[in-house]
Amino acid sequence: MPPFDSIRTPEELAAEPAFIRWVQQPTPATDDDWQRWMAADANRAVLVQKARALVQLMQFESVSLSPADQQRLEAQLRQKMAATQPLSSELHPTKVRPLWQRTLPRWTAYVAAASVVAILLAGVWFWQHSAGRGGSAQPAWDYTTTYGQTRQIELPDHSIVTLNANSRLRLAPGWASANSPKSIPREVWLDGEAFFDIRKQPTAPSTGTRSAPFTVHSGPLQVTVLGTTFDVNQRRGVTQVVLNTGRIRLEGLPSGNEVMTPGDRVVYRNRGQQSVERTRVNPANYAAWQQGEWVLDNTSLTEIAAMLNDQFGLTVELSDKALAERRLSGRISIESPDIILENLSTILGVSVRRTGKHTILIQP
Amino acid sequence: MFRGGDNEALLRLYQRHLPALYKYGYNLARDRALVEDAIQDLFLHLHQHRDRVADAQNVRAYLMQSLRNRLLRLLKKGDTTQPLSDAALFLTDTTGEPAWVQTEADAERSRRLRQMINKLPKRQREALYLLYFEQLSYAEAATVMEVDVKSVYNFVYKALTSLRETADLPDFLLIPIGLGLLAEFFEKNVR
Repeated sequence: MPPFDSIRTPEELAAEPAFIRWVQQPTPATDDDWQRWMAADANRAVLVQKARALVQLMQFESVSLSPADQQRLEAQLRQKMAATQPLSSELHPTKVRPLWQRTLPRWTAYVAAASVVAILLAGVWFWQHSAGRGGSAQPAWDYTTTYGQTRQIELPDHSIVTLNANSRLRLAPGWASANSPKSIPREVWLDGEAFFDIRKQPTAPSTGTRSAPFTVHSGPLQVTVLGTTFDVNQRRGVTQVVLNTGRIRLEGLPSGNEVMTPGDRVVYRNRGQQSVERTRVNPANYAAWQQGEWVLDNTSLTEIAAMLNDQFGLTVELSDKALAERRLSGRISIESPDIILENLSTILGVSVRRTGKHTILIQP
Repeated sequence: MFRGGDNEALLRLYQRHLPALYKYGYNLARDRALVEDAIQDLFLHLHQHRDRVADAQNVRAYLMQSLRNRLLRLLKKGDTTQPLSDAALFLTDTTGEPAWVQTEADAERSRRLRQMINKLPKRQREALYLLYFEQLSYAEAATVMEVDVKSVYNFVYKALTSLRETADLPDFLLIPIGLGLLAEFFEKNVR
């Protein structure tokens, strides 16, 4: 350890890497070093205490990947790596004379001109096919929304998906770009919540069925439909499916497959104690978020806190248990989180306070 | 590292750095899906141009720098997410508490100090994040942020001093920590 004799302020000390390491990962050896450093000057103990407090302040908001996510990402990368070849450096000889210094046969000029035209045409085709999908930075088969955002997506079969906030929808690979989309099975993967308006897709008479199935994979469940409207909400280990019209088949439940009719709601919890809950509901209430509303029906403050987290990324802390059980019914606008919080405050007569950029404290 | 160039070596690199890259990316963009895609693209790119990583002196800093470039480029295009204000990035954890918090009053003070950090300029917050939270060296942080080492030092030092100017780190900090150190000292030496 250097002598650090010139250090006079806690800030200078708190900026020293050796000091930071000691505060964050002390060892017997560094303990001794710094004890000795402090002993050499009466003012140093104070410096160390203030600097240590500064270092310990530096904790940042952070997220981590679940092991399942890590495995999924790694598998995905493996697959993509297998599909792309490394650009081997042997293919590019190191010394190549620039094109303009070489004499080339005349036909190469025609090839070059033809390539330019081909590339332009390909560009126009690509531009037309990607226009209107929004977001050229992501491939057209992967759609996401952030907190507070909803998004409408037209699928290649003209079905409409409305994606709620903080959600992700992926299409079967190749579906969005296929020349004949009908040859690709209608399959999507959902994280978060979405409302589906699925068109029937006629199939060739020879297959025996009149319409090609459409499958939504969501957590542990698969929803298979022919043509209907329904809402799927899959967050923190709970998958909820509410059917508005038509008929759907639910696969992946521990109790076996299930056929749902309009107004059916199935909730499957697959984390911890597994459970399947079936109720009859007014399905319009579960699709109201598309109109910028929540319809609360004897909904507890705990559930509302979870909904605020899903929709806006807010962490809501309730100061006591009695508060967690307060219940609310009625329509509430979800235009902005502030409006919701203000309404909660007036309706329930509680104090709602922002304690941070994304944290809220509710007290009686 | 993966000079040898086989896929398994690259995947080991991926496994080792994925958590830190993901955390850093999240603080840069606050969009999990976008960060996932950027990391996958980054490694796919390395897979195709493998000779470049081999030359990087410090792989961790190199990976973070590349991810940062990718994300900033995607965010600039602005078509994947709602535009994010800088104020929403690199935020301290205002719900957690540092070790020196003992009383309700300490908790309130640490919250206030962390909120002050959240109001510092973004570059200063990023430097604090890299140095203290990711435990990079000044040289590594400089690589990641594409500035010189001196600038990183200035970011950190300015951030620390402005905390004092606004909060004037009062003596309250001394009492709990002083007691703790004293207790530690006695435990060690007075036996």
